[in-house]
Amino acid sequence: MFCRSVTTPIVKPVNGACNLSCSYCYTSGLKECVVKNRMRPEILKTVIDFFCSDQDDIEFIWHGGEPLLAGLKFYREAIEIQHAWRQRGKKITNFLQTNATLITPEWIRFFKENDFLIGVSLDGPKEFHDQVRRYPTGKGSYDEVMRGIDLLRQAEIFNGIICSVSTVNHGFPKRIFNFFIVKNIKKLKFARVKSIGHCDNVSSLVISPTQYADFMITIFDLWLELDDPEVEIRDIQSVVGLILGGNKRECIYMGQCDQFVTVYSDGSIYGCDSFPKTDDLCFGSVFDKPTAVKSNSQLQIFRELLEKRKEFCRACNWYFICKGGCAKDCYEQLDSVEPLSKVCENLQRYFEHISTKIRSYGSYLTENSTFQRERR
Amino acid sequence: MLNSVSVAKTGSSSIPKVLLQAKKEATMQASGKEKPGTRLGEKGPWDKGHWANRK
Repeated sequence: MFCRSVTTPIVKPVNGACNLSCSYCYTSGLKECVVKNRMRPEILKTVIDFFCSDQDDIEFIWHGGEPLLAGLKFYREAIEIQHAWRQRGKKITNFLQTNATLITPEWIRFFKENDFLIGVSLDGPKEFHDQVRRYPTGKGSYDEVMRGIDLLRQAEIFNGIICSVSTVNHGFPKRIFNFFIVKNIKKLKFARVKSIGHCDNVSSLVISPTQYADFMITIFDLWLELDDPEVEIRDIQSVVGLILGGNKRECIYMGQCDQFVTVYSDGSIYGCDSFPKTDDLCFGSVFDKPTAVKSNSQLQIFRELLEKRKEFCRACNWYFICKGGCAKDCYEQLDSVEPLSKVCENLQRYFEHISTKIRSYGSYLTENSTFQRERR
Repeated sequence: MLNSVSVAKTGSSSIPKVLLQAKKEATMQASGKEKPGTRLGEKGPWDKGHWANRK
């Protein structure tokens, strides 16, 4: 059987370095020097070779900090290295998640020419966004982000928004939803601000599982009421699709957290970025052979843990959706097997709300669906 | 500003378009077929089996 472990790299070419200093960012407390931390060309080549050597369909997720700080030359080199693999029949896709403040027409030309898929971080209207996503001077970044989005949109390479949900904006789901619709931003992902990493004041911004479920339930109701098929909300679409018998899953519902790894600028390979540089999730380096990384003892332990968690959750009615859930969000500690009851209760409430709405439209939608099969 | 989410429904029992589309896509996913006519620019994390790029 094909081993999915360590197949999707989240690459941090400048580690956590960023031109912004967002209040909830787990790297905002780190004063990193971009030049010192930038991934060197020989490491970049090794990263690409590592992930392309033993798979045919590879997705590179360029991440940060702010990945544009690596500079255009860096990504031009990446494309050149990837080109050699493409000629050998490999299918390579590049995703990049940016704060969009550094985007210029030159970046746009590069992204367009090379089919990059660009996601932008935007936390809703200016009055919310600027409270948390700021420059080190304290100035909000909203105006520059919107300028970047406009450039991406004009070039038709704008691929949607990730909106972090915190104590600042969780109480205003309708205002946030309407803001995105009015701005014609129709591909959305909402993410609960997590208490991870090094940021001193993040706890004042973290919302509870109950608050997040309330927020998402309202967003679902608004999505249903608007009824515009162009509006795609990743989490909702994933849950609705799974209930209706589909199989596309957001990573938090895959139960395959070992698939995603973070690659730092020195080439070291760690687990998902939700556990920044956690020693117990250090799986090796791109300078090791892929087979050595995939048989790394820490990775084996992590995989076994994921299996134990799935086993624990298998009897739950909603296991077919969450598959044990996000390894970070749903558990007290990295080695916990039993999920946090508060997280489960609220996920169940959210799933139940969506499935009840779907069922209220009659049996046509749920015929031959996972929902129906799970209940036979 | 809030009017953008207020839409007139043709009837309370009619199934929302978003759910009909989701059903169609779920059926295609289950049969292993790709969404027809999807350009690369329309793809991205939303058309992938995983959507990992959190921030």
